[in-house]
Amino acid sequence: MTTHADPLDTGVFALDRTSKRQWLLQGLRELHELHYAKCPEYLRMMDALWPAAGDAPDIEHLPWLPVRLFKHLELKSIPTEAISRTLVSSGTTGAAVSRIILDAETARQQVKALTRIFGHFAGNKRMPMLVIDENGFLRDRKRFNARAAGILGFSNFGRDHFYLLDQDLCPDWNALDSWLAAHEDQPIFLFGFTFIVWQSLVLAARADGRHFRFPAGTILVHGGGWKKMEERKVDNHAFKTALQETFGIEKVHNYYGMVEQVGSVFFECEHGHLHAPTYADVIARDPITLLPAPVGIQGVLQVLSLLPRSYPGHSLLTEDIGIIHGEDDCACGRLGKHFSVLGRLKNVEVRGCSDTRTVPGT
Amino acid sequence: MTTLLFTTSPSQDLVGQAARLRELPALSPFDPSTVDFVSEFSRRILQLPELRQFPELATLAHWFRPAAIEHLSRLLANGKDSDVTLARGLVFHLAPANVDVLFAYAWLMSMLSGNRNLARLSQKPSAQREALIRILHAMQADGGHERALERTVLLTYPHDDEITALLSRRCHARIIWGGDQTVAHIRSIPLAPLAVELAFPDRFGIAAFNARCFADAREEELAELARRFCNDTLWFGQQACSSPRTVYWIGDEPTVEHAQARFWSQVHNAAASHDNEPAALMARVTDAHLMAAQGIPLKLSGSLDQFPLRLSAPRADDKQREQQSGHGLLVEVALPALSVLAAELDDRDQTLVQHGFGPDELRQLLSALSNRAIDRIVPLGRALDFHHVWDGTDLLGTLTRRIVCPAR
Repeated sequence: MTTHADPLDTGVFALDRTSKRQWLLQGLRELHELHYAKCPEYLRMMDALWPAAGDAPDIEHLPWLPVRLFKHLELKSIPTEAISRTLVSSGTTGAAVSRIILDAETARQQVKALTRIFGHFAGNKRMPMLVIDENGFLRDRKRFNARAAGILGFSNFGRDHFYLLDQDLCPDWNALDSWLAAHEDQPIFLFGFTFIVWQSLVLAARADGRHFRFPAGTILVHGGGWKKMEERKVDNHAFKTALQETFGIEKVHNYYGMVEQVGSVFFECEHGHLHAPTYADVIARDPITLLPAPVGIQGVLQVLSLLPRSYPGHSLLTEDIGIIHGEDDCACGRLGKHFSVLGRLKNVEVRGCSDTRTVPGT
Repeated sequence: MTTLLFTTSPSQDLVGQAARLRELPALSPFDPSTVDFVSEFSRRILQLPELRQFPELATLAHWFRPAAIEHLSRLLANGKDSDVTLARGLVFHLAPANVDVLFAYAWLMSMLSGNRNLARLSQKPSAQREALIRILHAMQADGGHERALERTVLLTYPHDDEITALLSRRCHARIIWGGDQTVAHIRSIPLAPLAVELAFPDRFGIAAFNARCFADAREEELAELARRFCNDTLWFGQQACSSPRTVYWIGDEPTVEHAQARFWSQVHNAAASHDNEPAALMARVTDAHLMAAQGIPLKLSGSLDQFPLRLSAPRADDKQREQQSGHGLLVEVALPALSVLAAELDDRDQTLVQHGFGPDELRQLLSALSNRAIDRIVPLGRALDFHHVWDGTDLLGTLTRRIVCPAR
């Protein structure tokens, strides 16, 4: 564990294209060797499907695993006794969930990565934290899921936490009034899932005729996907405008990430672009040829991260569609690739005479 | 909640529908009223404005064209002259999810056999299904065909054992299309003591190719074989039971390699005219990784973006075929002789698509089987055809009953 330089000791958005590519390639090839040696399933997949995996000339030629694999296989590169946490993806009832195996070291790296990225955007001072969610999972561990994990992950960055919603996701405005009064004139850190923020904060406040003005410097961080928002035809711009108008919140940052790849937390900058931190990267691939798509052309997103050491999740092909806007050239000044996520591939239709997925009670 | 999709008595409840169907007199097999109905139904399918989008409906209509119905009626009459063939009675169909068209074959054949039919369609609506139901309503509105229409009830309900039990108690035959779990579950629901049951659970298709024929074929011939292979494999997203999942190449090593190189380049060309959606690619690439991670060792042939995606393996089995969810994923195995194929096959292997073997060789293969494998052997391009003998059972024979009777 001491042979590799800690990827997190570099600035969050500090490396330019040339040095970042070299550094990532070296680190990811090292991770490939590590998982090839430690994870028998990874070895079998590489031997079968990626014969040239060992000598990738650049990050685009590195092997990747399809992200859905983690819904079917529990992959790990550590002995069972070293498991410290198992992350579970959120999923609709009955659908398969991903299981991600972490050891203490990878879990620690994950926290550290998130801390550094968050600190970069919000500063390192803990703010009073308003969670736009309910806190049932704190009482009932059985209800712990990816949403809860996300909330807990970000909770470290706040203090005096207040959960706005009840079990039915309805806000308690009076409680919010008194909580805000107790933290007068201090910037607030709001956190929630995009759709819940929209529905249970923005729309609920409008419906109830409530007006709040959050203090200057208040920041909202939200993630979890746009699918339900798209269904309601609400885009990022409309979302931000609504938060500004209804609550006076100027700093709104979306983030993109997935439980399957620790460390890949892509934060949205002031110009509305998601940014790859130094130790992670993103490649858009043509969804039919799988070749890297040029800047400005949409493709299926592959995410890369130097953090996953306990399981082979360092290079994953997602089912999200996105577009790379450029590298080292975002108007915000941050180095690295900047991109947008446009949605998800639509599911394949299940056809055929057999369909075992619809039988209840078996 | 039960939804009646088609009935001539919409005000009746489920018990009423079943009672009414039971009381209606049976018709003779191939009674002119049902033959007319099925012919008219097929004719109307062919007139659908959206027919081009649904080649499977055109195939269905073609299958029930007048000459084919005539052929079926002769098949049924081919028994002992003195025997009398009557309809089975009330037939309860449980259609597969997503492929309502498959059920339509059994339903129309049951209709021709003189039965009253009650069918539970899946909860998921499809354009094909809507088209079929629309035709029934149009025929009803246009008048005529009363005898056939009043003997037809199509409905859907969420999985509900009580309703299934109620209908199962009242029918004379139950036909289940579905995955193994569905079949097993429905089989646990009691059936009327006198009723018979047909079940069509998960099955797989495989292909066996005589490598010599592919190595020697002219380019045009090879292109045609490739086109047929793509139709067998890529229609319905390779999810039909009979679509090949494993290709067995029979021959010596250099011949097999030569045949593969020639054939696959043609297949990849021919596949270009089939749908290849990004989500399908993602599904087969995920399956390839899953299969590689577990089970039989595999090797990718070509690259991951190729359509279809090919994996070569020293052997293949039923478990592996079950892991393949279709979408253009094939496993290739080379074998020195057709005779050793028997040992590779499992009970659930249904359709053998073959090219280059003579009838005697194929019969030898069948006699070498020690299990329940193989219900049909078809030439390239015919994997998806329907046949009145399905999964080893003569549907016409089951949809009717035979009365032993003194000769005249």
